[in-house]
Amino acid sequence: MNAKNEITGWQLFFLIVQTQVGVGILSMPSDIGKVAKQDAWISMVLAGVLVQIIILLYIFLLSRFPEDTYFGIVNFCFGSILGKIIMSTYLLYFIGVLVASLTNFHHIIATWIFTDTPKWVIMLLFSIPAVYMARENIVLIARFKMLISFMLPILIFVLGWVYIQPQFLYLLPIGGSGLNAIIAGIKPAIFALMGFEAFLFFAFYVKTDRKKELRKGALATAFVTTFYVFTIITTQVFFYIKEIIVVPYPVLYIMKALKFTILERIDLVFITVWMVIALSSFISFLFIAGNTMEQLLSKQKHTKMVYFIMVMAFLGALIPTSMLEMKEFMEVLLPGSLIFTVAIPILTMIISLFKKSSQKEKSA
Amino acid sequence: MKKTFLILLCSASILLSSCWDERLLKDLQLVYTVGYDVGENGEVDVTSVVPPIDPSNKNGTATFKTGHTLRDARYNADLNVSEHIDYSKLQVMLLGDELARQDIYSFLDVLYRNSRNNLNGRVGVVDGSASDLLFQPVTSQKSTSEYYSGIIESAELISVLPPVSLQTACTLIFDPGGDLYLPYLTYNEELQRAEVEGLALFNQKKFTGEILTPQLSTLFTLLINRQGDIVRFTRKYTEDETPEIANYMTIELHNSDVSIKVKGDQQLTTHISAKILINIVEYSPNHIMAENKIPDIEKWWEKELEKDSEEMIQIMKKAKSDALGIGRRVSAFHPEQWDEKTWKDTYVEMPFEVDFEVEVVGTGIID
Repeated sequence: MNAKNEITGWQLFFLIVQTQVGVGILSMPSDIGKVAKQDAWISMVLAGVLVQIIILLYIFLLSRFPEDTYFGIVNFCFGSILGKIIMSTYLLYFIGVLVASLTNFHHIIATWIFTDTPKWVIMLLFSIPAVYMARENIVLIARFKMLISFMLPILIFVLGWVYIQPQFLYLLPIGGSGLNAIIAGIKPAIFALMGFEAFLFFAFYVKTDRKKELRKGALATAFVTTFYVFTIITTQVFFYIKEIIVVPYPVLYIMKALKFTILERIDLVFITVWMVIALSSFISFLFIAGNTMEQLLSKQKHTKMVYFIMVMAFLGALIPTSMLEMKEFMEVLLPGSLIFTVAIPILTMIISLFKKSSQKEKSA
Repeated sequence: MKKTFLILLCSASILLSSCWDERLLKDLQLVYTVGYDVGENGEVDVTSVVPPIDPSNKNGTATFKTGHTLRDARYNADLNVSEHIDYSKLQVMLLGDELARQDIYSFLDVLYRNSRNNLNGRVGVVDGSASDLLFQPVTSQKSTSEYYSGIIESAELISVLPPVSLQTACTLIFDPGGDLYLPYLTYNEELQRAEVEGLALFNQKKFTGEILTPQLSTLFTLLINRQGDIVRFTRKYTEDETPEIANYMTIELHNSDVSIKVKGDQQLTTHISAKILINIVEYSPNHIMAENKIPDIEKWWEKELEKDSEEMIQIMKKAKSDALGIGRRVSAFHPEQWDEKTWKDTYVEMPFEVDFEVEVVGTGIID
C-alpha cells in the first residue's frame, strides 16, 4: 500500500464519531427513556463503558495482526471458505444498516418537513452525495469528517437554551426506576451507540505508530457517550418522562418550542444542518460495505461495489412503507447487530489465540 | 467535458426544484388566534381569527365560526375563504370556560401532532364563550388577530402571568406532580377590550373554576421563578394620610431567591422561603431613610406577602390544584411517600410554612 492510503489517530477518532452519531440521536432519548425512565442517562453511561470494553478487545485483536484487514484476520482464523461466508453475512448486515438509515432519514424528512415529496426523490437526493463521497479513498473521507465536525457543537448550543428554565427535579430520584429498568435500558443505549464496529475496519488504515494512534481512536466512543448523556439529560429536564415516551423525536421537539428574536421553528433549520451528519454516518457504512465486497470478490477498486450496494440499499429502502414495517425490520436488525459487533469479533479473537500459539510451536 | 458539465447542470436543476411541498403565502390564510367552545350536542365550535390582508384596514379582520375539531374547521373554512386556511403561525388558542372544565388535552392534541405547528403560541381560558369574546369589537391599534397574544405577553412582562406556551402546557399536563395554570381572560364592556383577570387553576387536565387574582398571580409567578422584567406590588401601608393616595406604597422587585422544600418524615411539610430585594418606587410621605423607617417597612412587607401567600395556598388547596409543583418535589425527594393516585388528598391536608425576608435596597433617587 502506498502512503496515501493512511490516516492518523485523530482522523480515526472523527471517522468513528461520525459513524456513531447520525439521525439516531434525535430519537435516542425517547427510545431509552421508554425503558429506563428518568435514569436513562445511567443506562447510557453503563452502555458507554461496555462499548469501551469491546473497543479495547478490538484493539487487542487488531494489534495481533498489524498487517491484516479485519477480513484478513477472519479468513486466517476461520479458513477461507468459512471466512468468505462470514464476510457475506457482514455484507448483508451492512446493506441492512444502510436500508435502515435511509428509511429513518426519509421518515424524519417526510414527517417533519416535506410531507408531500415522494420517497424516492428524498432518498435519491441523499444517495447521490453519499456515493460521490464513499467511492473515494479513506483519506478524503476522513478529511471530510473532520471538516464537518464543527457541526456537532451546534446541537449543544441550541439545546443549551433549555437550561434557562431547567426542571432538574425530573431527574430525581436517581435510581428510582429500579436496577432492572436501568439494565434493560442498556440495550437500546448500545443500539444508539452502534457504529463503533467501524473501528474494526478503519483501524487498518492507521499504520504509523499504531498502538498509540489506535488509542486516540478508542476515545471516540467515550466522546459520543458524553455527547449522548448530555442530550438525554437535556431532554429530561425539559420534558416530563411520560411526555418523552409519546414524543419520538424529543430533540427536535424541544427546538420546535424555542423562539429567538428573529428565528422561529429552528428545528427546521437544525434538521437541514444535521442531515450532513446523518449523511456522514451513511457514507461510513457505504464505504465499509464497498470495501467488504471488494475483498470478497478480490477486486482492486471499491468504486463499482459502492454503486452496486447503493442501488441495493435504495431498492431495499423502497420496500418498507408503513412505520410498523420499519419497526419490525429494526427489531430484527438491531439484535442481529450484536452478533456482528460483539459475538464474531470475540470468537475470532479466541480462535486467533490458539492459532497463533500453535503456529509458534510449529516454527519452534 | 463541457457537454458533460452541461448535462450535469441540467439534471441537477431538475432535482433542485422542490415543487411538491411549496406553500405560497398568497394562497394561504394564516390563522393567528383560535377559540374553542362546547357547542350544541357536545360538539366543539371553533372560531378562527385571521389578520386582514391590507394592514391599514384593521376592521377587515375576518372571524369565522366553523367546524367541530381543528381539522374540521379548516375543512369548513376552506369552503368560504378564498385562500387555504393554515394554522402554522398560530399565536393564541382560547378555550371557553365550559370546555376548559373538560379534559383539555384532547383539544390540544392536534397541535402537537402536526409538525407544521408552532408550539410557542399561548393558551388561555375565557370567561364564558371564546367565540363570543372573539366576535366582540376591540378598541386597539392592533388587529384583533394579534391583539390577544399581545395582552397575554404584556401581562407576562409585568409578571401577572407566568409564560405558558403550548409546549410548557403539555409538559404540565403530563406531569402528575404539578398542575397546569393558564391565563384567564374576560371582556370589559366599558373599555371595549379584553382583560387579563388572573390565572386559571387546573386540576390535572380540567379547569377547576378557581382563579388567582392578578395580585396573587404576581406572587405566584414570583414563587415559581417565572417572573418577567417587572414585578410590582402596591399595598395600603397606612390608613390616615391625606390624600388617599399617600396611604399606598408601590415596590418593585430587584432580585429574588425562592426555595420551596418539602421536609419531614411521616408528616410532610412544605417550606416556602423567599428572600427578596426590593426598591420602593412610589410612596409620597417622604423621609424613608431619614426617619429610619426601613426596618418597619421591611417587616410590614414580609407580613403582607406571607398573608397573601397563605391566601393563595388556600385557594389552590380548595381547587385541589398543585400549581406550585409540590408533588414533583415529593416524588423526587420522598419517593417512598409518593403515590400518584392519592396525591391530591395528601396535598390538601399538607401544612405549608411560608417565610419571607424582605430587604429594601433602593428608594429611587430621592430618600
